[in-house]
Amino acid sequence: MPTTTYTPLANITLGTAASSITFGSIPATYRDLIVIFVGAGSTTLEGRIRLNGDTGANYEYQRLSGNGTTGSAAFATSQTSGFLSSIAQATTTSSLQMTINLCATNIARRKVIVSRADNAANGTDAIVNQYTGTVAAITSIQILTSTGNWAIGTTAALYGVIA
Amino acid sequence: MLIPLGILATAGAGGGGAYEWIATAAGDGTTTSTLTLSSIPSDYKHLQVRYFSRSTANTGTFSMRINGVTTSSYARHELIGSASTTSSTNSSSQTSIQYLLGTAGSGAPGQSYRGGVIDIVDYTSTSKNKTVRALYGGADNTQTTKVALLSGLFLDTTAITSLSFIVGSGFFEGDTRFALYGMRG
Repeated sequence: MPTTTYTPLANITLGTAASSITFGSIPATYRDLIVIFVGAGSTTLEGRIRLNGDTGANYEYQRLSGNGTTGSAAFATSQTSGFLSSIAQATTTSSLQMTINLCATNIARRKVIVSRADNAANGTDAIVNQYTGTVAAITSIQILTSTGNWAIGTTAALYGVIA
Repeated sequence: MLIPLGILATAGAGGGGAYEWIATAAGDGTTTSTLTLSSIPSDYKHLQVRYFSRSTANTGTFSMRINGVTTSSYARHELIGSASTTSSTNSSSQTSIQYLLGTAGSGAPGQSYRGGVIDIVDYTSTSKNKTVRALYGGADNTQTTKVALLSGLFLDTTAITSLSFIVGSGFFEGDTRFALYGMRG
Protein backbone atom coordinates (compact mmCIF):
# COMPACT_ATOMS: atom_id res chain seq x y z
CA MET A 1 0.00 0.00 0.00
CA PRO A 2 1.68 3.28 -1.06
CA THR A 3 2.49 5.58 1.82
CA THR A 4 2.58 9.34 1.66
CA THR A 5 6.03 10.56 2.58
CA TYR A 6 8.38 13.51 1.98
CA THR A 7 7.25 14.84 5.33
CA PRO A 8 8.02 18.46 6.23
CA LEU A 9 10.00 18.41 9.48
CA ALA A 10 11.25 21.97 9.91
CA ASN A 11 11.51 25.25 8.09
CA ILE A 12 13.99 27.96 9.07
CA THR A 13 14.16 31.51 7.72
CA LEU A 14 16.92 33.75 8.98
CA GLY A 15 15.74 37.00 10.54
CA THR A 16 19.36 37.84 11.35
CA ALA A 17 22.42 36.98 9.28
CA ALA A 18 24.09 33.87 10.66
CA SER A 19 27.06 31.64 9.90
CA SER A 20 24.99 28.47 10.13
CA ILE A 21 21.52 27.00 10.06
CA THR A 22 20.95 23.96 12.26
CA PHE A 23 18.26 21.32 12.25
CA GLY A 24 18.34 19.44 15.55
CA SER A 25 16.42 16.69 17.33
CA ILE A 26 15.79 14.93 14.02
CA PRO A 27 13.77 11.74 14.61
CA ALA A 28 15.31 8.49 13.42
CA THR A 29 12.08 7.57 11.65
CA TYR A 30 13.23 8.46 8.16
CA ARG A 31 15.57 6.63 5.84
CA ASP A 32 16.49 9.71 3.80
CA LEU A 33 16.54 13.36 4.77
CA ILE A 34 16.34 16.19 2.26
CA VAL A 35 17.28 19.81 2.78
CA ILE A 36 16.06 22.43 0.33
CA PHE A 37 18.06 25.64 0.73
CA VAL A 38 17.58 29.03 -0.91
CA GLY A 39 19.73 31.90 0.21
CA ALA A 40 22.64 34.24 -0.26
CA GLY A 41 25.90 34.98 1.48
CA SER A 42 27.33 38.14 2.94
CA THR A 43 30.58 37.56 1.07
CA THR A 44 32.27 35.12 -1.27
CA LEU A 45 31.91 31.79 0.50
CA GLU A 46 31.49 28.03 0.24
CA GLY A 47 28.51 26.15 1.59
CA ARG A 48 29.47 23.37 4.03
CA ILE A 49 27.66 20.73 6.08
CA ARG A 50 28.19 18.99 9.41
CA LEU A 51 26.33 16.05 10.85
CA ASN A 52 25.56 15.43 14.51
CA GLY A 53 27.74 18.39 15.47
CA ASP A 54 30.89 16.54 14.43
CA THR A 55 33.74 19.01 13.87
CA GLY A 56 36.35 16.27 13.41
CA ALA A 57 38.15 15.43 10.18
CA ASN A 58 35.42 12.98 9.22
CA TYR A 59 34.18 14.20 5.86
CA GLU A 60 35.29 13.49 2.33
CA TYR A 61 33.81 14.65 -0.91
CA GLN A 62 33.99 14.49 -4.69
CA ARG A 63 32.69 17.50 -6.56
CA LEU A 64 31.99 18.46 -10.18
CA SER A 65 31.72 22.19 -10.82
CA GLY A 66 31.15 24.68 -13.58
CA ASN A 67 31.59 28.44 -13.29
CA GLY A 68 30.36 29.42 -16.73
CA THR A 69 33.83 29.27 -18.24
CA THR A 70 35.51 26.17 -16.92
CA GLY A 71 34.49 22.75 -15.66
CA SER A 72 36.46 21.38 -12.73
CA ALA A 73 36.49 18.49 -10.29
CA ALA A 74 38.13 17.83 -6.96
CA PHE A 75 38.34 15.12 -4.32
CA ALA A 76 39.23 15.86 -0.72
CA THR A 77 39.48 13.72 2.38
CA SER A 78 39.80 14.29 6.12
CA GLN A 79 37.79 17.49 6.01
CA THR A 80 36.20 19.02 9.11
CA SER A 81 32.96 19.59 7.22
CA GLY A 82 31.31 18.32 4.08
CA PHE A 83 31.21 20.38 0.92
CA LEU A 84 28.01 21.77 -0.58
CA SER A 85 28.84 24.68 -2.84
CA SER A 86 31.91 26.12 -4.50
CA ILE A 87 29.96 29.02 -5.89
CA ALA A 88 31.20 32.46 -5.03
CA GLN A 89 28.35 34.17 -3.28
CA ALA A 90 29.06 37.83 -2.98
CA THR A 91 25.70 39.56 -3.09
CA THR A 92 22.43 39.39 -1.23
CA THR A 93 20.40 39.60 -4.41
CA SER A 94 21.87 36.58 -6.13
CA SER A 95 20.29 33.46 -4.76
CA LEU A 96 21.95 30.10 -4.23
CA GLN A 97 19.71 27.06 -4.36
CA MET A 98 20.88 23.75 -2.94
CA THR A 99 19.10 20.41 -2.91
CA ILE A 100 20.81 18.14 -0.40
CA ASN A 101 19.91 14.44 -0.28
CA LEU A 102 21.17 12.57 2.80
CA CYS A 103 20.95 8.83 2.16
CA ALA A 104 20.25 6.07 4.68
CA THR A 105 20.38 8.42 7.62
CA ASN A 106 18.93 5.93 10.12
CA ILE A 107 20.96 2.90 9.03
CA ALA A 108 24.19 1.94 10.81
CA ARG A 109 26.40 2.60 7.80
CA ARG A 110 28.52 5.54 6.70
CA LYS A 111 26.27 8.33 5.49
CA VAL A 112 26.27 9.44 1.85
CA ILE A 113 25.11 12.86 0.73
CA VAL A 114 24.39 13.66 -2.93
CA SER A 115 23.62 17.26 -3.67
CA ARG A 116 23.30 19.98 -6.26
CA ALA A 117 24.11 23.67 -5.85
CA ASP A 118 22.91 26.16 -8.41
CA ASN A 119 23.37 29.87 -8.81
CA ALA A 120 22.80 31.10 -12.34
CA ALA A 121 24.91 34.18 -11.72
CA ASN A 122 27.96 32.20 -10.62
CA GLY A 123 27.93 28.50 -11.39
CA THR A 124 26.74 25.03 -10.53
CA ASP A 125 27.99 22.01 -8.54
CA ALA A 126 27.19 18.33 -8.30
CA ILE A 127 28.71 16.81 -5.18
CA VAL A 128 28.84 13.54 -3.27
CA ASN A 129 29.98 13.52 0.35
CA GLN A 130 30.78 10.61 2.62
CA TYR A 131 30.71 11.04 6.37
CA THR A 132 33.28 8.77 7.99
CA GLY A 133 32.38 9.55 11.60
CA THR A 134 29.84 7.62 13.63
CA VAL A 135 27.44 5.31 11.79
CA ALA A 136 24.74 6.26 14.28
CA ALA A 137 21.56 7.88 13.02
CA ILE A 138 21.70 11.52 12.03
CA THR A 139 20.09 13.68 14.69
CA SER A 140 21.31 17.10 13.57
CA ILE A 141 22.30 18.79 10.32
CA GLN A 142 24.19 22.05 10.19
CA ILE A 143 24.40 24.07 6.96
CA LEU A 144 27.26 26.48 7.45
CA THR A 145 29.42 28.94 5.60
CA SER A 146 33.15 28.65 5.09
CA THR A 147 33.39 32.33 6.03
CA GLY A 148 30.93 35.14 6.64
CA ASN A 149 27.21 34.66 7.07
CA TRP A 150 24.11 33.47 5.33
CA ALA A 151 22.06 36.58 4.62
CA ILE A 152 18.77 37.63 6.20
CA GLY A 153 15.93 35.86 4.41
CA THR A 154 17.93 32.70 3.70
CA THR A 155 15.58 29.73 3.99
CA ALA A 156 16.16 26.06 4.60
CA ALA A 157 13.54 23.32 4.84
CA LEU A 158 14.05 19.77 6.10
CA TYR A 159 12.00 16.81 4.85
CA GLY A 160 11.97 13.19 5.88
CA VAL A 161 11.45 10.28 3.47
CA ILE A 162 10.60 6.75 4.61
CA ALA A 163 11.48 3.55 2.81
CA MET B 1 6.62 26.00 2.76
CA LEU B 2 9.28 25.55 0.14
CA ILE B 3 8.35 23.28 -2.74
CA PRO B 4 10.45 20.15 -2.21
CA LEU B 5 12.54 19.35 -5.25
CA GLY B 6 14.90 16.40 -4.89
CA ILE B 7 16.17 16.27 -8.41
CA LEU B 8 12.78 16.76 -10.02
CA ALA B 9 10.66 19.84 -9.55
CA THR B 10 7.05 18.83 -9.23
CA ALA B 11 4.56 21.56 -8.49
CA GLY B 12 2.85 20.96 -5.21
CA ALA B 13 4.84 17.84 -4.36
CA GLY B 14 5.33 16.80 -0.76
CA GLY B 15 3.25 17.13 2.33
CA GLY B 16 -0.22 16.75 0.85
CA GLY B 17 0.07 13.21 -0.53
CA ALA B 18 1.62 13.97 -3.91
CA TYR B 19 4.81 11.99 -3.15
CA GLU B 20 4.32 8.39 -2.07
CA TRP B 21 6.61 5.53 -1.15
CA ILE B 22 5.59 2.57 -3.32
CA ALA B 23 8.07 -0.21 -2.58
CA THR B 24 11.66 -1.03 -1.60
CA ALA B 25 13.93 -3.77 -2.90
CA ALA B 26 16.66 -4.72 -0.44
CA GLY B 27 19.94 -6.57 -0.69
CA ASP B 28 20.83 -9.54 1.54
CA GLY B 29 24.47 -10.11 0.66
CA THR B 30 23.96 -13.74 -0.40
CA THR B 31 21.26 -14.09 -3.07
CA THR B 32 20.41 -10.62 -4.38
CA SER B 33 22.34 -10.10 -7.60
CA THR B 34 19.22 -8.51 -9.06
CA LEU B 35 16.75 -6.30 -7.24
CA THR B 36 13.43 -5.73 -8.96
CA LEU B 37 10.65 -3.25 -8.37
CA SER B 38 7.68 -4.77 -10.14
CA SER B 39 3.96 -4.22 -10.58
CA ILE B 40 4.54 -0.48 -10.59
CA PRO B 41 1.13 1.20 -10.43
CA SER B 42 0.14 3.43 -13.32
CA ASP B 43 -1.59 6.19 -11.41
CA TYR B 44 1.42 8.46 -10.83
CA LYS B 45 2.90 11.07 -13.13
CA HIS B 46 6.62 10.48 -12.47
CA LEU B 47 8.79 8.03 -10.56
CA GLN B 48 11.82 8.49 -8.36
CA VAL B 49 14.24 5.86 -7.10
CA ARG B 50 16.48 6.66 -4.14
CA TYR B 51 19.27 4.13 -3.69
CA PHE B 52 22.07 3.20 -1.27
CA SER B 53 24.31 0.39 -2.43
CA ARG B 54 27.30 -1.85 -1.79
CA SER B 55 28.37 -5.02 -3.60
CA THR B 56 29.92 -8.14 -2.08
CA ALA B 57 32.42 -8.23 -4.95
CA ASN B 58 35.11 -5.77 -5.87
CA THR B 59 32.98 -4.13 -8.52
CA GLY B 60 31.59 -0.64 -8.67
CA THR B 61 28.95 -1.07 -11.35
CA PHE B 62 25.30 -1.84 -11.45
CA SER B 63 22.86 -1.70 -14.34
CA MET B 64 19.22 -0.78 -14.69
CA ARG B 65 16.69 -2.45 -16.97
CA ILE B 66 13.13 -1.41 -17.65
CA ASN B 67 10.24 -3.88 -18.02
CA GLY B 68 12.75 -6.73 -18.15
CA VAL B 69 13.93 -5.66 -21.60
CA THR B 70 17.37 -7.10 -22.34
CA THR B 71 17.71 -6.02 -25.97
CA SER B 72 19.85 -3.13 -27.23
CA SER B 73 17.23 -0.55 -26.31
CA TYR B 74 19.16 1.77 -24.03
CA ALA B 75 21.49 4.75 -24.35
CA ARG B 76 23.13 7.10 -21.88
CA HIS B 77 25.24 10.22 -21.48
CA GLU B 78 27.18 11.22 -18.38
CA LEU B 79 28.99 14.26 -17.04
CA ILE B 80 31.54 13.06 -14.50
CA GLY B 81 33.83 14.39 -11.84
CA SER B 82 36.42 11.93 -10.58
CA ALA B 83 39.37 13.08 -8.46
CA SER B 84 40.51 16.24 -10.30
CA THR B 85 39.25 15.14 -13.72
CA THR B 86 36.08 16.12 -15.52
CA SER B 87 34.84 13.99 -18.39
CA SER B 88 31.82 13.16 -20.46
CA THR B 89 30.84 9.79 -21.86
CA ASN B 90 28.12 8.36 -23.99
CA SER B 91 26.97 4.96 -25.14
CA SER B 92 24.16 3.75 -27.37
CA SER B 93 22.61 0.42 -28.35
CA GLN B 94 23.14 -0.88 -24.83
CA THR B 95 21.32 -3.75 -23.13
CA SER B 96 20.91 -1.72 -19.94
CA ILE B 97 21.66 1.67 -18.44
CA GLN B 98 24.93 1.31 -16.59
CA TYR B 99 25.82 3.20 -13.44
CA LEU B 100 29.61 2.88 -13.51
CA LEU B 101 31.11 3.25 -10.02
CA GLY B 102 27.56 3.68 -8.76
CA THR B 103 27.94 1.13 -6.00
CA ALA B 104 30.62 0.62 -3.39
CA GLY B 105 32.47 -2.68 -3.72
CA SER B 106 34.26 -4.98 -1.33
CA GLY B 107 37.40 -2.88 -1.71
CA ALA B 108 35.71 0.12 -0.13
CA PRO B 109 36.18 0.78 3.58
CA GLY B 110 33.84 -1.14 5.80
CA GLN B 111 30.44 0.52 6.23
CA SER B 112 30.93 2.53 3.01
CA TYR B 113 28.14 2.60 0.48
CA ARG B 114 27.33 4.75 -2.54
CA GLY B 115 24.06 6.47 -3.31
CA GLY B 116 21.95 8.45 -5.68
CA VAL B 117 18.61 9.74 -6.84
CA ILE B 118 17.10 8.57 -10.13
CA ASP B 119 14.14 10.31 -11.77
CA ILE B 120 11.95 8.81 -14.49
CA VAL B 121 9.69 11.33 -16.13
CA ASP B 122 6.24 10.57 -17.58
CA TYR B 123 6.70 6.83 -17.15
CA THR B 124 3.18 5.83 -18.18
CA SER B 125 3.29 7.48 -21.59
CA THR B 126 2.65 5.15 -24.50
CA SER B 127 3.73 7.71 -27.08
CA LYS B 128 7.19 8.63 -25.79
CA ASN B 129 10.46 6.86 -25.24
CA LYS B 130 11.42 7.02 -21.58
CA THR B 131 13.97 9.41 -20.11
CA VAL B 132 15.95 8.64 -16.97
CA ARG B 133 18.13 11.13 -15.14
CA ALA B 134 20.29 10.61 -12.12
CA LEU B 135 22.68 12.22 -9.70
CA TYR B 136 24.86 9.59 -8.04
CA GLY B 137 28.31 8.64 -6.85
CA GLY B 138 30.58 7.95 -3.95
CA ALA B 139 33.51 9.48 -2.12
CA ASP B 140 34.85 6.38 -0.35
CA ASN B 141 38.48 6.90 -1.11
CA THR B 142 39.82 3.36 -1.54
CA GLN B 143 37.81 3.08 -4.74
CA THR B 144 37.79 5.51 -7.64
CA THR B 145 35.63 8.37 -6.44
CA LYS B 146 32.92 9.71 -8.69
CA VAL B 147 30.03 12.11 -8.90
CA ALA B 148 27.95 11.96 -12.04
CA LEU B 149 24.98 13.49 -13.77
CA LEU B 150 23.47 10.80 -15.95
CA SER B 151 20.89 11.01 -18.68
CA GLY B 152 19.49 7.68 -19.82
CA LEU B 153 17.15 6.70 -22.60
CA PHE B 154 14.92 3.66 -22.99
CA LEU B 155 13.97 3.43 -26.66
CA ASP B 156 10.54 2.03 -26.04
CA THR B 157 7.14 3.70 -25.74
CA THR B 158 5.68 1.02 -23.49
CA ALA B 159 4.57 2.22 -20.07
CA ILE B 160 7.00 1.26 -17.31
CA THR B 161 5.79 -1.49 -15.02
CA SER B 162 9.08 -2.77 -13.60
CA LEU B 163 12.62 -1.65 -12.86
CA SER B 164 15.49 -4.06 -12.27
CA PHE B 165 18.88 -3.26 -10.80
CA ILE B 166 21.63 -5.78 -11.54
CA VAL B 167 24.96 -5.73 -9.72
CA GLY B 168 28.03 -6.12 -11.93
CA SER B 169 29.45 -8.94 -9.85
CA GLY B 170 28.61 -10.70 -6.61
CA PHE B 171 25.52 -9.65 -4.73
CA PHE B 172 24.05 -6.51 -3.32
CA GLU B 173 25.08 -6.31 0.32
CA GLY B 174 22.64 -6.17 3.18
CA ASP B 175 21.37 -2.62 3.80
CA THR B 176 21.43 -2.00 0.06
CA ARG B 177 18.12 -0.35 -0.79
CA PHE B 178 16.44 0.72 -4.01
CA ALA B 179 13.33 2.56 -2.90
CA LEU B 180 10.63 3.58 -5.38
CA TYR B 181 8.45 6.66 -5.03
CA GLY B 182 5.60 7.95 -7.15
CA MET B 183 4.75 11.59 -7.74
CA ARG B 184 1.27 12.62 -8.63
CA GLY B 185 0.59 15.47 -10.98
